[in-house]
Amino acid sequence: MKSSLKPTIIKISIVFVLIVALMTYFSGQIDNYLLPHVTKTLGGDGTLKYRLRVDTVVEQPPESKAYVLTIDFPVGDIAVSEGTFVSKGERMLQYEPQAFAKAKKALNDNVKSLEKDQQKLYTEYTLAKTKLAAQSALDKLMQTHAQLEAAQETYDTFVARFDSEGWILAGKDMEIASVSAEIGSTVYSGNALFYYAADTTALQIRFTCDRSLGELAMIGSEVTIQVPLISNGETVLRKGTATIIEKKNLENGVECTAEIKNVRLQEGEKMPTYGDKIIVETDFESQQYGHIVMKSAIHDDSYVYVITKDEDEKRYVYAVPVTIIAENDFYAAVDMTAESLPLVMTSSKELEDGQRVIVDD
Amino acid sequence: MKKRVIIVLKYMALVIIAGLFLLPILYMVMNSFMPTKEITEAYASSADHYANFHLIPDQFSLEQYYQAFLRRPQFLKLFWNSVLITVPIVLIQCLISIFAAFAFTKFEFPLRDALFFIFIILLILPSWVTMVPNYMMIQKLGLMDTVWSLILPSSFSAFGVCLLRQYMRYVPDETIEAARMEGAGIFKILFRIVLPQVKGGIASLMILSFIDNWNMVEQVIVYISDKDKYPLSVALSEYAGTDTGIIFACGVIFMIPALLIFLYHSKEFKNARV
Repeated sequence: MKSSLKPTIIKISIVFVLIVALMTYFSGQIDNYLLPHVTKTLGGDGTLKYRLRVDTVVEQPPESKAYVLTIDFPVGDIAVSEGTFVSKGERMLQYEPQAFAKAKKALNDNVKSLEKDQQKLYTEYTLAKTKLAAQSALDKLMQTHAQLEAAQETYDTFVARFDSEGWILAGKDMEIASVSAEIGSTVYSGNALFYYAADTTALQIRFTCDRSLGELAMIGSEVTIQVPLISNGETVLRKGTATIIEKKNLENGVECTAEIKNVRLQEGEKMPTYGDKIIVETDFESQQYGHIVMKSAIHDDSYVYVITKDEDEKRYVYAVPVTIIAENDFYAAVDMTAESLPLVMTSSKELEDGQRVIVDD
Repeated sequence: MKKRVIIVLKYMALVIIAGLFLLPILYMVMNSFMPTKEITEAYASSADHYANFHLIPDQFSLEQYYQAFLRRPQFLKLFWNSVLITVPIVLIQCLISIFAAFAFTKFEFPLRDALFFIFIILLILPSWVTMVPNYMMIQKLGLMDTVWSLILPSSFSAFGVCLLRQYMRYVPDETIEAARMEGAGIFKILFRIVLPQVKGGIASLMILSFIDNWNMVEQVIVYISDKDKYPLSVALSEYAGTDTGIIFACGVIFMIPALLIFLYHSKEFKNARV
């Protein structure tokens, strides 16, 4: 090599060393700039809330109202008839005793079985030898716990409806208009057991919602209403509550009838009357789900990115498939593995499976 | 005519042999300009087929260099580990070899030839023979898992002493005598008279020592357990397993320092009498 090329070699060497030195020194900042920045979210068990907003008017209630149960009711005995006046707490209709005992036992056994499963999974979790095994056991444990809570609620609701011998007790003083049940027959869920004289002074509203919301609207549950009133020449909205007393399945939805219980009026204001506009604005709560995540974390309705950490505290993302069980506008109940790992909520760049990321806390 | 044919055949043979030696380097450089996806598809191990031999990239891309320089800070740190190990070894080795060779060549002392004979035997002995006693010594000194466990044993090179001794033998004694009569001390004689005349040998020693220690593998695996302290020579084999997409660019970057040193000293290396 000619001597004149030596200076060139030196220059190339210096440039090379400088480039490598600068890249090494600024590698942290470069990483910070080039790597995708993500925000994380943690899923968890819970319920989904569905908002209903519908306009309706105050109606005059019918002369009689139906008493409807949300479970099938095999009739064992009937203690009332047309024209009977019952006081609060009196026996009215009896669940067929054998069927009552069987149904109660089945619900109780379900609760006990889930308690055993939960205990078993807890033991498995505490004795797990690897991180992966512990994770898997914890995911199953949380799912089973959600199922146990739902089963317990179902049992408690069932038991609360009846006395120890399976009799339905009158919730208030009422006059029986007619009895549609017969001894030995089964009145199916949603059908009237009997009719009682309605309070014709009551204020009633009727509204329709889609089937999914209709399933969540339970008879006896409260809905929030807004009552537009004219006060001092201005239209104001006053909040109130109404209790759902009846549900009817329609072709493309569910029609709910609710009785207005109270409205928070100010001095000089009057309760709404027949024909007045009412706005029903309420949140319905779904059943308990084992794992609920934000919908923004789900990509193409089929996968999420979970964030893992290596021994050097570096974060990586991996795509995990999910199945959406239920969803509202912002959240979705999903079925997925690795439920206890945080999920990517938003990302500054397109992500790839196995990619390193920086988590913005 | 016959002479011409022989010359042509000679050159053809030389070109073919040179080509065979250059092919791996050419292959590595050409493959370093392939996108990572093409690399992983071509070289993904599979029971059904062997890796596809791919010299010309389907798509020219600097993605591998981008990944190696900007997205793999760990790779750059390992590069500096290699520099941190190799540069001190080369410098210390050169220094010690210069002094030792000068002593063996220009000084008379008892058992000089016998001592030099031992150096010759050390040259013949493979490094693995002394690895176990070295290991025990380094462990006792508490230098395990440190760069000094690599630098210290490699700094003392019998090869360097023998090489420079051969060069220094050809330095005329008369010039040294003349310098001594002028009042020059030993160090002045060494640095002003002897060293300028053995530049070729020193250059050769630096190049060979650099290349040898830049590619150090066995000592690293034995003495170093922390993967963050590995030099690139060892870490590259791990990249081949985990990060095949950038392996060729990493190889080219690994090759550059040795190439630059060789090019810088190539004149001395060519003119040197080995």
